Amino acid sequence: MLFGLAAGLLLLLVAQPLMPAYRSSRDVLTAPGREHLLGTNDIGQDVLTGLLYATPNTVLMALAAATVATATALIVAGAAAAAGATTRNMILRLVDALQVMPSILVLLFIGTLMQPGLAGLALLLGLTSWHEDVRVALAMLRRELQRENVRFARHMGASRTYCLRRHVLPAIRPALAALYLQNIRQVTLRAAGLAFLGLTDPRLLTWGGMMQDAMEHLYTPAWLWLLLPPALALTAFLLIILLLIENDPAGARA
Amino acid sequence: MQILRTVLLVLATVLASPALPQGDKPLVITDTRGDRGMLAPYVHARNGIAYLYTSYVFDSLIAQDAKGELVPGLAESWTLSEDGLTADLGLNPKARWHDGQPVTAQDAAFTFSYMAQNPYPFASLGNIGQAEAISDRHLRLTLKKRDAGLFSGLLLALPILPRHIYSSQTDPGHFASPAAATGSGPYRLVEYDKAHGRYTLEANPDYYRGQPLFDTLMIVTMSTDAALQALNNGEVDVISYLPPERAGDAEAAGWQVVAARSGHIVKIGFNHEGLFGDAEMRRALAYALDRQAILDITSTGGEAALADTGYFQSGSPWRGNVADPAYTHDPGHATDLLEKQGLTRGASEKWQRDGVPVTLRLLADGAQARIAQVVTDQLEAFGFTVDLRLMEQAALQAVPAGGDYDLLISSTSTTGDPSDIASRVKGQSWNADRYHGDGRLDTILQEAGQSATPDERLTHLHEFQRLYAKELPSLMLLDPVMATAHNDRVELSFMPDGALIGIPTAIDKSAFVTE
Amino acid sequence: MTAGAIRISGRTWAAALLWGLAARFAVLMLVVLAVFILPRLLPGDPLGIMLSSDYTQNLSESELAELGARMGIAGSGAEQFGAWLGDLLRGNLGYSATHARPVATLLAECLPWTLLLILGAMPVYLVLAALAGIGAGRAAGGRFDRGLTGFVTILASIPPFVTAVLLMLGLAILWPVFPASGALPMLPSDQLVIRTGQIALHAILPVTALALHEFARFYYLARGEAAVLTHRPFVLNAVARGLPPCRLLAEYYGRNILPTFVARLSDSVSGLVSAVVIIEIVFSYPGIGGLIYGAILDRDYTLLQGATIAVAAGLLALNWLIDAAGTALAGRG
Repeated sequence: MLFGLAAGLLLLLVAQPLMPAYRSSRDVLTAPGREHLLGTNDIGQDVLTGLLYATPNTVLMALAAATVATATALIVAGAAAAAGATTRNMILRLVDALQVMPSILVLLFIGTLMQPGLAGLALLLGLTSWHEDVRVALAMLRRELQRENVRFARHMGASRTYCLRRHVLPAIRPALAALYLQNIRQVTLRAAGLAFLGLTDPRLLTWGGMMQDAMEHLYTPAWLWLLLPPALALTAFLLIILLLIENDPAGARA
Repeated sequence: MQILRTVLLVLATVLASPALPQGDKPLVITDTRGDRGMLAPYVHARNGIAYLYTSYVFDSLIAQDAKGELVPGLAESWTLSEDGLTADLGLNPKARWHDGQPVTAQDAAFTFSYMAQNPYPFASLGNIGQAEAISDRHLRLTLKKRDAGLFSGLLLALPILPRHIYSSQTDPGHFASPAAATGSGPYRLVEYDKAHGRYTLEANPDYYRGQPLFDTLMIVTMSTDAALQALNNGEVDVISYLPPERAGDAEAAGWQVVAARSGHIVKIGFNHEGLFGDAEMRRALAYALDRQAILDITSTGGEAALADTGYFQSGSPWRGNVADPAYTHDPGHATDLLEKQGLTRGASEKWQRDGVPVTLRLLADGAQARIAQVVTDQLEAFGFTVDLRLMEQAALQAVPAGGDYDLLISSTSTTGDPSDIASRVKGQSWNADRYHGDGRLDTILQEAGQSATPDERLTHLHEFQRLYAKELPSLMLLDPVMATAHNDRVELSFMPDGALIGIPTAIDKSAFVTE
Repeated sequence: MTAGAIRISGRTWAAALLWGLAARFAVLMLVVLAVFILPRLLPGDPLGIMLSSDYTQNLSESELAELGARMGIAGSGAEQFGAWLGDLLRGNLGYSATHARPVATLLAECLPWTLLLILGAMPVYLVLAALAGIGAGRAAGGRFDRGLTGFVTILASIPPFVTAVLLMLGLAILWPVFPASGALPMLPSDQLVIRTGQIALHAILPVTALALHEFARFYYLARGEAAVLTHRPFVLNAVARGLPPCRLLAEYYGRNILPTFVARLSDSVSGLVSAVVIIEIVFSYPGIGGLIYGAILDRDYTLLQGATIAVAAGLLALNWLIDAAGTALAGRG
C-alpha cells in the first residue's frame, strides 16, 4: 500500500509539466461534465487539475514535517537517554508541560507571521509536533540500551555510535516507523486546518486551501464539486495512513 | 430519535414565535459583520459602517438630505468670509443632548480643541487655526488656509461632542460607558450587545430637525441567508448590504432592492520607483490587461461594473461629463509600447529587459484573491512571469512605497468630499497611489482645494480626472456594486457620492427622519 | 507501615509537585516571552490596521504619535515589555483598543461559551465512547465490532473542521434544522427557559462536531480495555453467575475503564482546545477561539497576549491539578 502511494505520488510529480495549467477561464462555476470532470471554481479553474496539483503538495509536506518531528523527538530522547537522571527529569518535565500547550496557539501565531510555504510549513509543523513523541522514543531507547547484546558489546569496548548503528537503531526501526506514520497523520490534520483558516501561503495549492475556497459556496450547489473532492481526498489519505498504522504490529494507537 | 425530533420541533415553534406587537415594532436592520464597537466617536470600530452607525447618535454641524445635498445640522446657518479664512456658524437653539442639556457653540468649540488633543482618525483638524464660541449660538472658525471642502468635508464629518461629558475624560479611547454615547442625533443608543453585535436605538423625541420615523431602530448581525429568510418572515426590514448576486432572490420574494455602484473601486497600483515609473509602461500594462474579461470572470452575478479610469466613478457629482480612456484590451498596442520602452520578447515569447526575463511581483489584498489570480493569468498569457503574493492588509501596510513589488491590487474609496484626494494619490498608505509624478496632479488638487467658488473647484477636478486617466497613478479595474433590500416600511436610496465621508450606503440617517 | 515511611513518601510527593509546578511555570514564562515577541515580528502594526480604513483622514505626525502612545506601542521594545510585564504581574491583562474594553472583560465574556462547548461535548463523547467501546471490545472481532470499528476508523480520518463544515452544510443549510452560526438568535428571549433553549439549540452543532472529533480516541481506548477485561477470570466468573448486564457494565467494565479514561482526559485537553478553536471559527461562535483569531487579524497585540497567556495559564494549572490529584491518589493507594 505504501509503495502504491509512493508510486502514485512520483507519477504525479513526473507528469506535472504535462498537466494542463491551472488557469482561470470564463467557464465560471460550471458543474462537473465532459469538459471539466470535476467542474470549475469561482474563477473558472478546473477542480480536477487543482486536485492533482494539490496532492503532491499536501502529501510531500506531511512526509517532510513528520520526518522533522520524528527526528527531533529521537534526538531529544537520545540526549535524555545519554544524560544523567536530573537532566533527563528536567527534559521530561519540560516536554510534559509543552504537551499541555495547544499546538493551535503556536500555529495561529506563526501562520499569521509568515504565511508559510511548503518548506516553512513542514518545518513549522515538525517543530510543533515533536514533543509528543519524546516519551515513547525514550522508553524505546532505554529498553534497547539495557538489552544484553548492547551491554555486552559496550563491555567488549564497542563505541557508542557502533552500538547505536548496529544494535539500537535496527531494533527500534519498526516502532519508529509506527511513530512516523502517527506523525504523518497528526501533521496532515494540522496543516489542513491551517490552510483551511487561510494561514498558509495562498499560492500553495493544498486540499485544505481548496476547501477554504469552497466555504463561500456552501449556500449554492457548487459545494458539491468544490468542497467534496478535496474533503474526500483528505479523508482518504488519512484513512490510508490509519490503516497502515493498524496493520503495523509495532504500532501504538494514538 | 423520535423524542429528539419532537423536542426540536417544540423548540423551533417556541423560538420562532414573534415577541413584539406590530404597533411599536422596531425597524430592524441587518449587518453581515458582527460587532462595530460602541457607538461613540473614539470607541467605534475603525471602519465606515461603524462611523455611519455612530452618526445616528451624533450629529455634525452640517448634515445631508436624502439626496446628499448639504442641509443645516447643528448649525442652522453658516457664512464664509471673503478671504475664505473665517467661517461663522449659527447653532440651532432647539438642539439638545440626549440627556436634555442644550447644545451650544461652547460644545462645538470644545470638540475642536478636544479632537486636536485626542486625534479622531475620521477628521483631521490640521487646517483649523482656532475655534471659538462668540456666544452660546455663535461659533467662529479661523482657518490656516482656504479650504473649499470645509463644509462638505470636515464640518459634515466631525461629530460634535458634549462638553459636560467629555471634558473630564482624559483618555477617550478608554471611555466606553453608556454616557460616552450621549449625542445630539435623531436616535439614542439604549442597548449594545457586543457579543452578538446588536444595537438598539430609540428615537430622540426632542430632535431639533424633524421627527425620527421609528420609535426603535435595531441593528442586528445576520448572515445573508438568515437575513433573507428573516425578511420573508417579517422579522427584519432592511438588509443593509445584500450581495448583488442575491438581489434576484430578494426581488423574487417581493422585496424592494436598491443598488448602485459603490465607488469603492478595485485597482492595480504601481511601484512608481520601479519598472512602472514611466507612464508609458503603465499604459502598456493597461492595454495588456483585458479588464472586460476580469469583470466577466469575477462578476457573473452583477457584483461589479467596469471602473472609470479617471478616478471619479460614474454617478459622482465631482465627475466631468466625458468618457475616460477605456484602455480596451489591445495586446498589439501593448507590445508596441513595451518595445518602445526597450523590452524584448525572448525565448517562448517571454518579455525580457536587457536579456533578463522580467518577473513582475504582484501583491494583493487577500480579499482580492480572485481578481489577482485572473490578472496573474492574463499577464502570464501575455508573456510576463508573475510572482503573485496574497497578503493581509496589515502585512501590505508594512510594504513601503518603492518596496519590493511591481504591482499591488487593492481596493479604495473614491467617494466623499475631494479634499482628501491628495492623500489618496500621493499618500503612503498601502492602498493609496503613492504617486507624485511630475507634480501636476498635486498642483491641480491644491488649486481645487483653494478654489473660491464651487464652479472653480469643479473645473480643477475635471482637469484632475482627465490627467489621472492619462497618467494612470493606478489603473482602476472594477467598481463593485452594492445593494440593499428592504420592505415597504422605509424608502431607501443610495446617495450619489456616499454618505458623510463617502460611505456607500442606503441607510444614512436621513432615511430615518422626516424633514 | 511506619510513621517514617509515610513522611518520606509525603516529602517526595511534595517535591514532585513542586517540580511539576516549576516546569509549568518555566513553560508559562516561555509563552509570555513568545507572546510578546512574536506579534511584534509580524508585519504591520495595530495603528496601521486601525488607520487602514479608507475613510480615515490624513493625520499629521504628531497626531499619529499621540495615537500610538494611547495604544501602548510607543517607546522601545524593552520599555513596552517592562510596562506590560508590570501590569501582568499586577493581574492586569491590559486594554484592547480595537474592542475598547479591558482584555479581562473580553475573556470573561468569551470563556463561558467555550466552556459550554467543551463541557457540553465531554459527557457525550465519554459516555458514548465507553458504551460503544465496551460493546465492541467484549466481542472483539465479531460483526458488531468490525462494523463499528470500521466506521470509527473512517470517522477518525475526517479532520475536525471538515466534520464541522459538513454538519453545518447538512443540518443548517441544506436541511436547516439548526442555526448555522452564533450562540444566540438575533433577538434572544428575555425568558430564562426559552433563552436556555435557544442557547442549547445553537450549541448542538458545534458540540456535536467536537464530540465526534474526540469520540474515536476514547472509543479505541475503551475497546482495547474491554477486550482485555473480557478474558479476565473475575469478569468470566461474573458472566457465568448470570450478573445483570447493567451491573456488569457499570461495576466490572466501567469501574476498570474509568481510571484509564481520566488519565487520557488530562492528555487530551490540549487537543480538545485546538479542536474547539477551529470549530468556533467555523460556526462563528463567540468563544475564545474566535476572539484569538480576530485579534490576530486585527493585530490587537494586547488582546492576543492576554488571551494566549490566560489560556496557557489555565491549561497548565488544570494539568498540574490533575497531576497532583493523580499523584495523591497513587500515593494513598
